[in-house]
Amino acid sequence: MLLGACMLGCVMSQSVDAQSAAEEYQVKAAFLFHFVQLVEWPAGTLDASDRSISLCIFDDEPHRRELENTIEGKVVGMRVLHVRLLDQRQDIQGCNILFLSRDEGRRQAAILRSVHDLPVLTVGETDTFLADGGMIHFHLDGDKIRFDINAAGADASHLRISARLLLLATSVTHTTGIGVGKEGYAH
Amino acid sequence: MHIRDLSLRANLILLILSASALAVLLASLGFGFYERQNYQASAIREMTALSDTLGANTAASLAFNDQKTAEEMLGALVTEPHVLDARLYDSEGRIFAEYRGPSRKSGFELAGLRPDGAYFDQQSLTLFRGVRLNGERTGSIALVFDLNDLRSRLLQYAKIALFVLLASVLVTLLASMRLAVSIGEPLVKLAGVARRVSIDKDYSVRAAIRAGGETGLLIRSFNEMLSQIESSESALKEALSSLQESDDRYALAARGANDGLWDWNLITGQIYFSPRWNHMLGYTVSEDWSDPEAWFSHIHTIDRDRVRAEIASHREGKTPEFASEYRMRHKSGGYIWMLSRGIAIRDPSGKAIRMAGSQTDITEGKISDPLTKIPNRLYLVDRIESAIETAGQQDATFAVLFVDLDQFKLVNDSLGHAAGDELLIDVAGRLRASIRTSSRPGGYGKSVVARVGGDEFAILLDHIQHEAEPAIVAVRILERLSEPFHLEGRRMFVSASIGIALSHASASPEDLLSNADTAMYSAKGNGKGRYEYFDEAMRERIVNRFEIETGLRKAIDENQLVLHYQPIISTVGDRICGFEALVRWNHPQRGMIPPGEFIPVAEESDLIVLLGRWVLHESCRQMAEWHRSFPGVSALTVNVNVSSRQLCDSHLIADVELALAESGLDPSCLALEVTESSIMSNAEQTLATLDRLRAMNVRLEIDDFGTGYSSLSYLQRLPFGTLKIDRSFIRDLSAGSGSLDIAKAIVEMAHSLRLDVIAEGVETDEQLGLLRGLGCNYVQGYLFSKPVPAEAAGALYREIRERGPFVAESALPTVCELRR
Repeated sequence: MLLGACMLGCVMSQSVDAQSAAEEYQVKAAFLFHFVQLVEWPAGTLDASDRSISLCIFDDEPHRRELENTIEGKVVGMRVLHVRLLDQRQDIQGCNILFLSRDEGRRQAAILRSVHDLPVLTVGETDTFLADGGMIHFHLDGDKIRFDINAAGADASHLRISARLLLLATSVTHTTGIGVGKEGYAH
Repeated sequence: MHIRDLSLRANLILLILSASALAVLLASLGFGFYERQNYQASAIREMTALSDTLGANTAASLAFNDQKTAEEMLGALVTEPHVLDARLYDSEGRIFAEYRGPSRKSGFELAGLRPDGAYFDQQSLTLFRGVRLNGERTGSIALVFDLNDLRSRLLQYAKIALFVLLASVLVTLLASMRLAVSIGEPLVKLAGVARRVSIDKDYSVRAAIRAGGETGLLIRSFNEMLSQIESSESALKEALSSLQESDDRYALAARGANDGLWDWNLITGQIYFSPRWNHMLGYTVSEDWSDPEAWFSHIHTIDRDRVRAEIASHREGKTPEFASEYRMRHKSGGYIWMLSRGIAIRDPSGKAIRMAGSQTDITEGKISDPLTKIPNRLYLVDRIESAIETAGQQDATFAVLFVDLDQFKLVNDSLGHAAGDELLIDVAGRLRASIRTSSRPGGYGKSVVARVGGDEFAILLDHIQHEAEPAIVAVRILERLSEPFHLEGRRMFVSASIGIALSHASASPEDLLSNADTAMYSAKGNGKGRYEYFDEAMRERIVNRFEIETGLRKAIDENQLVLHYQPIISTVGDRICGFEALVRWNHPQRGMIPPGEFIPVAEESDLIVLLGRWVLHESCRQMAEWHRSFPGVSALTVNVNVSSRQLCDSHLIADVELALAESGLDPSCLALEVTESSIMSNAEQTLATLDRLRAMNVRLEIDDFGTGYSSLSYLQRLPFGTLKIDRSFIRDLSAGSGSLDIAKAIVEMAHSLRLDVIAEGVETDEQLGLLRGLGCNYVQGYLFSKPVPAEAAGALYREIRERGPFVAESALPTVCELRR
């Protein structure tokens, strides 16, 4: 609701919702950070030399600032998180995480397809994110930020998502199809 | 009350009890503590694990702010009943999620967030742990654990422990009491035994207590100790009693021995005298001398210096022991004889430092004759001395009698020493009896009968009032002694010679004894069996006699004796048929001593035997020589007088044999003359000797016939061939005298008994004529020749042979006839 309100709010009165949006994306950034904590990349995929993990966002990401501020320089394990800005044409290679906000509706599917079997953790917000092959999808539950996970996507990229993360996901799907829901998983 | 004052038992019990209680307590505490720690630790571990798990699980929820999930996760704690509460705090310490357990008590509130750790309170354990997501702390988790379980468990433990404690205390109490008893009782018993032993002083008691280990050792050692004490007690008792016994024995022995003891410390000069020592001298014990001079001052002056010398001699080591006999003055004034003996102890250098010994009263031994038990000479002398003193003071007179037994040696030799001793004892008794009974009332007071020699007795006759009194006593003695003595079953007659010496002013005991002795000697010389008073002239005679006796021996050895020969003429043919040999003494100083003087003296002793032997030898020799010198005189005989002593002498036969053998004289040419009296006094004894002599073919002649108490039956039996009429008859021979009748009777009797008769002492022709008429076979006397020396006799014989009328039987071929 908030999202919805925010979206309207963002368009109509950005300053009123700017605070809550900033907060939201701070939280989301924190979530992203945590995602990194709870996801395992295949061996050798993370850059061994410079010990960094790149979170790529497109340069036209509206909330890139919040993301950068929250994530940049954070340490996960022995690696440092960096935010990389991507332009339209830039190669997504070298990204470990890709965040696609809801504004990326059009190119979303193509991008997802291109990284489909690459060890890139894709996190998005659009409704069709998971259907498009994304792995983690943010959604709002009241004023709480929640997320869903498409495990099949992770499988395809050979990323291993921690069970703990799975537990906390509102739903976990294994196919590109419809999510089963929380009731679906077995502990 | 100090712990030491408690009894061993109490101490033991207390100790064991407290030890066991302490042990149980400590164990319980230890275990309890350990259990608690363990429990707590495991609780912590459990909870830590739990919280970690939860934390890990909820970390993501915290990160993703998923309260619901977090709560759900915490809700899983419902399976843990001990977990009372759980909280999840975010990084700011705000409670993110909470779980309230079912067993949570109301009102329980978890305290605020605390640093990590475990926090205990009464009932619960609160554990605070960090929650991490990928190593990064995202918050904290707190779990509250219920400890009540632990508590109850611990309480249970405590109960069990207490029960165990009580039980163990009880058991320990019993066990320790038992132990205390088993230890204490023997000790108490032992103490009891020890007390009893010390009270009763009975060391034969033993502790019969059974116990093991150290107590047993103690008891055994205790018993051993008692054994030791007992044995040393008894050893001590033995030693003591042995010492006592030895002491008693010594005292008894000393008493029995009647000895006094003396102990002289030569260094200090002090001397100890035993009570007996003092008692012997008549002093009571309280007079305890310690000065040796007290001893010496009591010694008789005569003996004193000698005793001192003898002591000194032993002290200086010159004699191996000290022994001395001396007189000591008794308290009563008299003297007693003491034998003192002693020995000195010396120091390493040899110096005498102590001398000790005994003193024995030997008075009785000293003063009495052991055989007869009457006093001895020593005592007598003492008594005479005191009599002299008294006589001097009181102007009284006393006498000393010397009694000598005449035939003692005869008895001794013929019947043996036992008979001799019997005789002496009897004589002593008779003498004493003679003194006791007297006409005088009260007897002779202090008179003493003593034995002073082998067969000599002396009598002190004290307080005589008349000089004749001793004579009366002497007569009585002689009378008593004349009664027969029964010795060895035989009857013997013994006489004595008595000498009497009267006291006079300046006489000493020795003088008086000597005088009495002289008088006795004189009595003996004058016929024996008599008494005589001493007078001065007697002394000379006695001395003379003594001289003769001593000279005679010498005379025999030095050929001072010489034989004179008196011819015996046969009345048939007036031939010299033989010679009588008569001994003379040619004393160098005194000249010719007649036989009357020395023969009796000789007869008193064994000198007569020596004399006789010499006479036999010489006479045989001489006669044998004459036989050789005068051819055809084989019938010539020599007559030799033989005394009764010689007859009794066992050597007579041998002497005769020897004399005959050495001289070569034919036995039939030797005639032995034996006086009638000497035959008769010992007829039985001499018969054997005479028979033997006769068997040797020696002629036997009875001499001095008519003077003795002849038994005619004996005459027949005795092997005599010839009778010699005593000269007393010949002297008085004259026609119509009684002597002629006697001589006639003798000749007839002799002839009828087939004996020849020789008449001695013919001095006149008248006598000769009468004798011829009587038919006397032979004559001898001064008419023909007095006894002359051998040479003269030989010359006489030759002369008569050649001349006649006493023609030797040269014409006659045979021996003198009618001689048997």
